[in-house]
Amino acid sequence: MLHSPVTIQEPLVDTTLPNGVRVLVEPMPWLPTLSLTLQLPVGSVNDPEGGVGSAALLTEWLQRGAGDLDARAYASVLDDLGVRRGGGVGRETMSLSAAFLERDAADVFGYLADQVRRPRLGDEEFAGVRQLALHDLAAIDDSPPQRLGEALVDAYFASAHARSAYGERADLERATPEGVRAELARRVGPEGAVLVVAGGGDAARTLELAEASFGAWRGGTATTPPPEVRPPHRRHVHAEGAQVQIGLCDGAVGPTDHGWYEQQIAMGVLDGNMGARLFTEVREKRGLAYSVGASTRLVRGHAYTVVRAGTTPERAGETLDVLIEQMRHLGAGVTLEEHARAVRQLRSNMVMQNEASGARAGRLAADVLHVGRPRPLAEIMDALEGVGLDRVNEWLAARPEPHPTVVTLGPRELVASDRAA
Amino acid sequence: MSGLRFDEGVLPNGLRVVGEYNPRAASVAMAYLVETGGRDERDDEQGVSHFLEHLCFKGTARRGSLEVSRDFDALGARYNAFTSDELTAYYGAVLPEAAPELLELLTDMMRPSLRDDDVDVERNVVLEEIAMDADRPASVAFDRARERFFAGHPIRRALLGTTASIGALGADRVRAFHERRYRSGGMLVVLAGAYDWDATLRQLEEETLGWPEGDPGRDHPDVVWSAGRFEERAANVTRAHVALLAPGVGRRDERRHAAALLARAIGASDNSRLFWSLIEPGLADEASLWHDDADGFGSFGGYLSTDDASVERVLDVARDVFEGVQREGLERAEWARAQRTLATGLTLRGETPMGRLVTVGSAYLDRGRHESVASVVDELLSTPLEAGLALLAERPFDRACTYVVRPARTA
Repeated sequence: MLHSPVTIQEPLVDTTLPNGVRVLVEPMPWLPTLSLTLQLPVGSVNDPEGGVGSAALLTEWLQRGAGDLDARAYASVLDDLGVRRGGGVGRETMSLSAAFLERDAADVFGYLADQVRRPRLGDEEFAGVRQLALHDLAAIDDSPPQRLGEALVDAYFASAHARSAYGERADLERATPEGVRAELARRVGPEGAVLVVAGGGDAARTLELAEASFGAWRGGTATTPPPEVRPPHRRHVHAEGAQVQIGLCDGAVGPTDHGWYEQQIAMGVLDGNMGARLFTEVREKRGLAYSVGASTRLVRGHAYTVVRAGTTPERAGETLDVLIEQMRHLGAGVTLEEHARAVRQLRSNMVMQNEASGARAGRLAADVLHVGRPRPLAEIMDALEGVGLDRVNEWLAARPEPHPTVVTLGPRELVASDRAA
Repeated sequence: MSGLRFDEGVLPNGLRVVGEYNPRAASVAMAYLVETGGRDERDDEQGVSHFLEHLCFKGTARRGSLEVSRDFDALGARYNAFTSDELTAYYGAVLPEAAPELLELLTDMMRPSLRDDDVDVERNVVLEEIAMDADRPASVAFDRARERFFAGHPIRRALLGTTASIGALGADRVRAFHERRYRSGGMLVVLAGAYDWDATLRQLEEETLGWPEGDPGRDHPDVVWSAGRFEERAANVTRAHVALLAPGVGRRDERRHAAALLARAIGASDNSRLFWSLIEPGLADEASLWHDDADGFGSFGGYLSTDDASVERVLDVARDVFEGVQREGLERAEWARAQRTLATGLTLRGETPMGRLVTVGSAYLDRGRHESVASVVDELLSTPLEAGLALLAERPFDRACTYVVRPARTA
């Protein structure tokens, strides 16, 4: 009675329009919904000097009206169609997204394309957009984990990748409508844009809609500088609070490098889930923290590992010791059981993450950015299956010893006496 | 979504089992919903439901303290648990071939060993969770607002407990609470996705044999809403965070859809009265309103975030928004937009078995029936504006409780 989950993968349409827009259409014909993501290579990394935060301003401003419609009228036509829309900006990319009923696709595509093809960028909206950006930036101060995340990236990168996606206060304060419009003309355009549509309906018709809506789009081209990292070091950021946030950052291999899947499995052993090493050693055995985790992060051309925990000051020294020890201890290899658990989890997660249209669209867009092409699910599944225990352990043994950059944020700096286990 | 089927059964020991079978799903999700939460705790038990949720991961008669999580991982499961005022849920999703093992594991977890050593280690973890929450001003604001708004009702207490209440909770008291509340008549097993119904029932009957029976039930003391405006200044805060609570309607109340639509029209994050009054002009970075329907009563919840200097103005504008809708109502077009966007959201969440799980189970617990995505969408779309206007006519926001957490004054 139970069918094979492999049916989840349908043939994918992958094409590039003459103007440069890469279009991916992933059919999920059993769904009544479509999820669409337009990803642009525009973020704080290619904001101009003195204008850091212009990508953030642009992302919000682009969503406030389009074509002939002002902000309210635009929001209303999309709401009338029941569209759930979103927009976000990161260090390297800006994305505009929408999810809607497949039967409304013809209308929705047109309205969404207007955001970039016929942006409104009305003067009447600018002051509010800038004020909101300043609020969003300031709000980081009241979220210690987010603040640590920003401080960690700032400590790790030497290049413009160190910038916050939220921008810089002084730059946001002096931003002008003309300046931000100029950034649209300079950086936002079809070159490097990726349009991913996943969900129900006929793929050929979806592709036609994509061509009709985005095919005649013209605009600027964004370039991203190569990432550069700083040598490992320690940094403390003072913050009042009940907990100390600890973050470690170290280089890693990327998805097009040799060892990517070995690393994925090793990271699964370190922090795949609650049965993995970090959770077991930090939380289950020692009760040092509630929140602890590790992940591999990607920017174009560089991958890095982030390990984090939040704990009260009395436990912070021991927690940091355990985190570093666990990063290093991976070099001694993983066991057969750990390997099997990690592989099964990664494969199973891959299938489950691809059940929802929005998550699937997001994964495919990220693939284009970091791998250069959308990887079929079967390719990832097979690759994971093909990396045996020996290959993982050989790779781990040959891997350089971790020397992470360490950032702490809290009421006081960790001193030597805290480090006595 | 075609081929959906609803399954429903009760085991001889009183354990209820329901499922929403979806032949197109690539996974199976399942959960134990235990009808126990913060409101079922006695005064000297604050935080015990959530503490017990943690401890169910710390071993059983068959599994040592590290083996529960390890076994979940070995199944390739996505899994977690949560505790609310009235429900403790343990859930997971796997590929269909691992479903019987996942069911066995979740079932085993419902009879935790609650060993003294594990309780002691896990107490630290919960204390860390409480410390983490103390650094989240929005959580602090809501905890304080609840203490006041629900004064006199057990739901006023913070779910995590306090440093003192968790510090004082010994293993014996946790065991007694488990004994009292985790009974087959007070639990529901929910499945969603590509499961095998007959095999599930057979397996459950065998594995829950000998469980303590009966329904622990629940007290329903009257809720007396306490309105007011309160604030505190805190050293670890740099901005103003406002929690707002106002009377709403309960889960079995037919006005619950109207309340949800009302909340969306007033306070959705992208196109609503609060958005255009506070977010669009850049007065606040958060301004949202939602409706929580609980067992026997409900409440509107709202959150505002801004800089300290702007907080009075933001509160004035929010008050004007509430007064405006209470006095003049909503436009038909606003109502229709709330209906359509809520319907799309529901449809999107329904794309995965995991997204259906708690919704299907809660509907069954609350209203004793299966509610498919399509049927709830129909109900939402046919809820008339007049139902929303009738709720507004009761002027719920006049009885709001507002709690502001803001920065300490500098010398």
